Amino acid sequence: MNCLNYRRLLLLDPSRNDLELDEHVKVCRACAHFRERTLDLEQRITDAIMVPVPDELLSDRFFVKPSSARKTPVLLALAASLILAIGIVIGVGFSPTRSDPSALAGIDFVVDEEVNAILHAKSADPGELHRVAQSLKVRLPEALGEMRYIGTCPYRGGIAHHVVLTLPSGKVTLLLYPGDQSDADASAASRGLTAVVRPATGGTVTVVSRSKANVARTVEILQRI
Amino acid sequence: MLLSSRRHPCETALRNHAADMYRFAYWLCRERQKALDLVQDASLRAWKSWENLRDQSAVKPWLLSILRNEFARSFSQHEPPIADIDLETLDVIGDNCPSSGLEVREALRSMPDSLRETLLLQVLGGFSCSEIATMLGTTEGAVMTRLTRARQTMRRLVDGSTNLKEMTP
Repeated sequence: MNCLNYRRLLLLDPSRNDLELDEHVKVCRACAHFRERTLDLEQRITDAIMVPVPDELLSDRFFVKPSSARKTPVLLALAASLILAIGIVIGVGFSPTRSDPSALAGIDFVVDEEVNAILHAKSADPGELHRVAQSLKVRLPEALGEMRYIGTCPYRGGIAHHVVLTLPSGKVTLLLYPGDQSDADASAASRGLTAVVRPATGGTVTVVSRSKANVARTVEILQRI
Repeated sequence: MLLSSRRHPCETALRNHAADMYRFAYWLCRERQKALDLVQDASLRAWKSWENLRDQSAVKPWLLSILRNEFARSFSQHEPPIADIDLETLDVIGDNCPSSGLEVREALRSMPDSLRETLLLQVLGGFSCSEIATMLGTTEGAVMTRLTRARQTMRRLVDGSTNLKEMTP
């Protein structure tokens, strides 16, 4: 186990019991120090989360069955069920279906993580990005617009390389993920975004954008070399 | 024969998990009174839906999911619009980060909601990544990313440690 993997797993769950983790920390002083600091901070986080519980919650009356929690009259329940069933049938025809989990993960990253990742980015080495693209045997879509390598980020339990492409028609996010096992294209549409996961040599590339056209154009360029 | 005054299982479940429900509610809305109201609203809904709970061993995630849904409903939670970020206008936080050295509670408050919520479910709830993914309606991979990011953020806010320094041996 290398130090990067060790620290990633520890940050995921400091309380985990894992022989492989224990063995690594016995031989790596830097990671032993990292572990000590992580466990210390984890204890402080736990202490902070455990705010005092108000006395009202201990009152006998707080959780008793309310008198309004009565059974719904049968006819009313049937009518509600019928309306709900009709609503579901109508809704299925129009609502987008969530599909592949790996593609959805890309969408979740853009919505929940990307702003933070960009705000806290240090200057990343573009040479590293080109090396990763070379190892994945993909062509970077530099011709489409301004490309910025944000750096590495935790992604789906591993480390991905985060790239933002600015096209005239909008932003596209790329996540180059060496080590991901996938041999088929995957896609998803959710939260106003479209994502496609394209297999590469020894990994994958996920493309996410609000514009389906931008995703398609970017994927077209990401051909294997 | 004495009649035993046994509590209804729903009331027992609510009392058993009251403290965790309150603490989860508190960190969702960060106000004591609102948290109490939220717990009360969630318990009403739990009473109404008790018969729908098929697996009573999963009552804790069920209660916290109800509470989370009540929070979203009551406090008009909505998904923020996704901004097309103009990268040139963003300030990159460097070594002079003014937010380092925060108290742990302040750091928890200032963390993005999605990260704090995921961290709470793991630390407070003791749930696995798979369980948290189900509760949040997302993927296990996204949960793992959020947990790692949450702890990195806490380290940076509390200790002032930078991401790359810590991750690179």
